[in-house]
Amino acid sequence: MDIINAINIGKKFGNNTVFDNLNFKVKKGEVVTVVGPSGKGKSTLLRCLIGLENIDSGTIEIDGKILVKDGIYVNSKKQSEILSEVGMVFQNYNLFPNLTVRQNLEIVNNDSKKIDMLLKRFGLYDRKDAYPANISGGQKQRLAIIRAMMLNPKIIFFDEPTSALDKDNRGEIVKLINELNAEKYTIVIVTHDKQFVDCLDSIIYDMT
Amino acid sequence: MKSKIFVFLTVFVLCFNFLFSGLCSAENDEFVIGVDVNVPPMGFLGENGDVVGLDIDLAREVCKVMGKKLKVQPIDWDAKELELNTNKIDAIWNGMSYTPERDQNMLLTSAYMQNRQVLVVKKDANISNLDDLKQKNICGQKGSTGITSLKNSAVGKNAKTITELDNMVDCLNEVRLGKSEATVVDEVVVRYYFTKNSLQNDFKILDQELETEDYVIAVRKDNLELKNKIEKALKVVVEDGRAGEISKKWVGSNVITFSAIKEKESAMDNKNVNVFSELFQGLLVTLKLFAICWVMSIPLGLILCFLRRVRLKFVKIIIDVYIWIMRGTPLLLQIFFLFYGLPLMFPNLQMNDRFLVGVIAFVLNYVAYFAEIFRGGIKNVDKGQFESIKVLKIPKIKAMFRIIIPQMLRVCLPSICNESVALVKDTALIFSVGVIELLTTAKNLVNTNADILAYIIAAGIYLLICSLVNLIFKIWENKLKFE
Repeated sequence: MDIINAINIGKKFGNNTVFDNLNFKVKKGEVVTVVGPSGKGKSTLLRCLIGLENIDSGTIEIDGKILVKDGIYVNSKKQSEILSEVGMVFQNYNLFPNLTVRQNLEIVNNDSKKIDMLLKRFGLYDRKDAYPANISGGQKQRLAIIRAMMLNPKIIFFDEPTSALDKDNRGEIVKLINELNAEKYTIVIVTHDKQFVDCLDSIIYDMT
Repeated sequence: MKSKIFVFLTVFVLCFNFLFSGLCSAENDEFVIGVDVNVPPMGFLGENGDVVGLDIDLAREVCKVMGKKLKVQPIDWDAKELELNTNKIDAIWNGMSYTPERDQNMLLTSAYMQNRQVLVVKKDANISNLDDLKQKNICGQKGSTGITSLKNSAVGKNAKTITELDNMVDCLNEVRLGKSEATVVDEVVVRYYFTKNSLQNDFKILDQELETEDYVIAVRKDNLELKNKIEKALKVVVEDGRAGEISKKWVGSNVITFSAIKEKESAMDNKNVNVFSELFQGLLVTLKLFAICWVMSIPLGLILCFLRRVRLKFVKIIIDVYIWIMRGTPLLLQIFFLFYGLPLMFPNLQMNDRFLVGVIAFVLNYVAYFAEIFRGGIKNVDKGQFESIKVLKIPKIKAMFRIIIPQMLRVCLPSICNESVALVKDTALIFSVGVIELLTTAKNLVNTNADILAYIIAAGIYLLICSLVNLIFKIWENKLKFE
């Protein structure tokens, strides 16, 4: 079953067409990497799928529910309900710098059992009172992943997950993604890092 | 490049020259008198913007006799002693009445005219002296010398009613319409008014006065030579009839005489004014004003800043115009407008609490500045933060208070600190609606004691408050480092 089904979608910024008649399907439990040179709309596609940008034409279904049909969006309450199935790990994480590690999670969902469990599992428990400025790049990424998991999404999107990491940490993120996938999370990754794609067992969607 | 430097240097030299010539303007053949330009008919702004009046004409004739050139310098009446004692002016000549206090601080000439508080009745009224006013209705201008002396006099005590009106013209109309039989007025002013409007045949002035003030001219305490010169010249002008003509021109009759001051009992009981306790009272007003304005403007500025982001175009336009006006006009003008202007436009909006008017004016002004500061701050918050908030579906209000505002504040604090320090100093402007705060207290003390100690202490207090504000903001900034 397709958990993401985008049919004939088009997106323009003014007169500049980013993509047109694009079809993008992801099956439940898959790991999909979206690759291609910069400027081809990888990030824009991802932003459309998580509701940060609106498409101009086409249809998007998420987990069988229609988000937008032939360019017309459902009402905002429904949108928000449908989009609660997706989590997002931004390229530069977009953590809240004025909140501690723990507060970054509490503000999304104040389930302290879950927070403690995840912090322990991802090795951040002893850093729970630190501010994002004081933790390492790898720790920030793990925090961003936990934060994306707080709303119990079915799909987690990653935008260029290796861009802010050095090579040693690349193995770690591959391991994390595989772990998440094993837990039935569907993963969509936008990247232009070929070596990273090679390390992953994923379905490649090329936007060249 | 060279030519630019040349232009710059030329401008610089010109500016310097200008400054320097300004400093050295007190030429020897000039006689500079200080006048408050709001005292018709003695000295006031004429139709073409020059200072004109009875005193000015008289001073000009006296100057001719002394062989000097008259220069009229508008001054702040409250600072007249200071103007004189710092050599900025040579004399105060502006319908100034004799008081024992003034006699102590300055050297006063003999009186050159008497101003009386007199009673005006209708020309055809059957009233010819003060005794005829028993059981009659009398009116007068609210808060004037005349109404005070009326209330203290036998005439006032025997009157049927005493009505207080806003101004002299209203009082005269009362009499004309027969609502009151008489009104108490300033003789010089009423004579000027009668002459200007040809009303001599409608009213008459009773001969007996309620009170008399002597008008004198003041020079510096040590300037006996000048005092003698002025008196000598005045005598000449009075005796050859020039003074009489001037008097007739302005008030229709000759009120200029020349007589020695009748010694009056000194009202001043030489009490030693305690500079510190007076300044402390002023300080309390300043602090209260600062605290109230600060606590109100910051949240309101924040609200305005967020309102401006609402997707309603007219809200944005209204706020932008408001900010534009508040930042583009002097705060002093805004205070005047609120206190004097609004009640004229909308009589229902009469606000008599001066402190409150000051608070409203300051808050309105500072809200605009703070809103602009916050606008800059919100622009500085990374776009990614808003995207995170959206994707994570954090409720808007919660996101605002927990994420956006703390990050904004971190960016804005130095600017907010700047504005707060400016507010500490701007509080002094409330003197313009008659609230006595720290600076005004200091100014009054300097004036009465002829000693600048109060200024130095006031400066020290302002420095201290501003340093404290700075310190508090430093601590706050450190707390918002998020490290």
